[in-house]
Amino acid sequence: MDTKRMHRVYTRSGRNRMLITFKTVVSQPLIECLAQTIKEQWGSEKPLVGNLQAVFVEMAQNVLHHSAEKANAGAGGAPCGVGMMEISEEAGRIKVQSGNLILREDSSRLAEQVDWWTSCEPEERKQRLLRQRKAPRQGPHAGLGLAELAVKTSGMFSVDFETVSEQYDFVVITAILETGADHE
Amino acid sequence: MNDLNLESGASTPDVLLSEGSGAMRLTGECYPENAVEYFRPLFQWMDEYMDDRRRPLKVEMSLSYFNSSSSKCLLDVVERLDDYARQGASVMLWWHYAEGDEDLLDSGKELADGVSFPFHLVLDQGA
Repeated sequence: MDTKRMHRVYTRSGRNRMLITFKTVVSQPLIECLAQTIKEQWGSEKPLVGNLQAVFVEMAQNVLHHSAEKANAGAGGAPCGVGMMEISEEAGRIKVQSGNLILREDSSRLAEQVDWWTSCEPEERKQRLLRQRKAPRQGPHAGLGLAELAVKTSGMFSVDFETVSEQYDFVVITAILETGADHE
Repeated sequence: MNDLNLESGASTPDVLLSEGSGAMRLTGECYPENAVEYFRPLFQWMDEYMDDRRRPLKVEMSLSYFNSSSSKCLLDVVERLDDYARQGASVMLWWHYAEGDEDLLDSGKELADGVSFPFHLVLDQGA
């Protein structure tokens, strides 16, 4: 039975050209390992590989730091965020997605921020990122991840929510990178 | 004061801060889990070194990728250098970027904007 299920997953992953997919505790070593995989697979495709690495790292570190679900990745160390990530390829574009739990009170703020970014032209996004970078730090992290995603994403950039409970939503961030080619 | 020498990791650059030669070199990728914590010893070294305005600083940055948190820390580095230069110290910076890497070139231009010391954008051919 398990073999059949695995084969279905294998076939579906191939059909959907799934490059990376997982749901786990997102630790920094995991991010480093997968960033290296991205570089090995896409290293010859410049500047695409740079943007793909940047989008992946920002999304994964967002899960690591901001997922509302935490767990220990190993012995010692601070708890890391739990979430899922997918990188898939369709004709001429790469889709990078993250999914994780978020406190309901943070959902509307995040949606507003993404709406603002998606309403901006690329040059306006760059200028806004620059202003944010120069603004005083308001926490342990720079809070620039969303801005970086907006600037690095050449295609669609969106956020969607699904209600999980009174306290939590499940948030999915999607970034599309145009490759201009159909890779094997 | 001691030199600061940090070997590169999977997500951190090679760092060499040398009091004797007045050199600061960062080489590699920079996307640590916590950029503020990572850069803290660099800032401490810089603050101590810059206590004496007679000391020149030659800074070389060859960063092939850095995340958004690190970009803010790099801006902090450049602002510290600029304050030092405005006090009369000798500061020079070389920002390396690979051929075709427009984002890295743009980042260099953004950091160079308005600084009072020589900020050289260096194209690394074939990198």
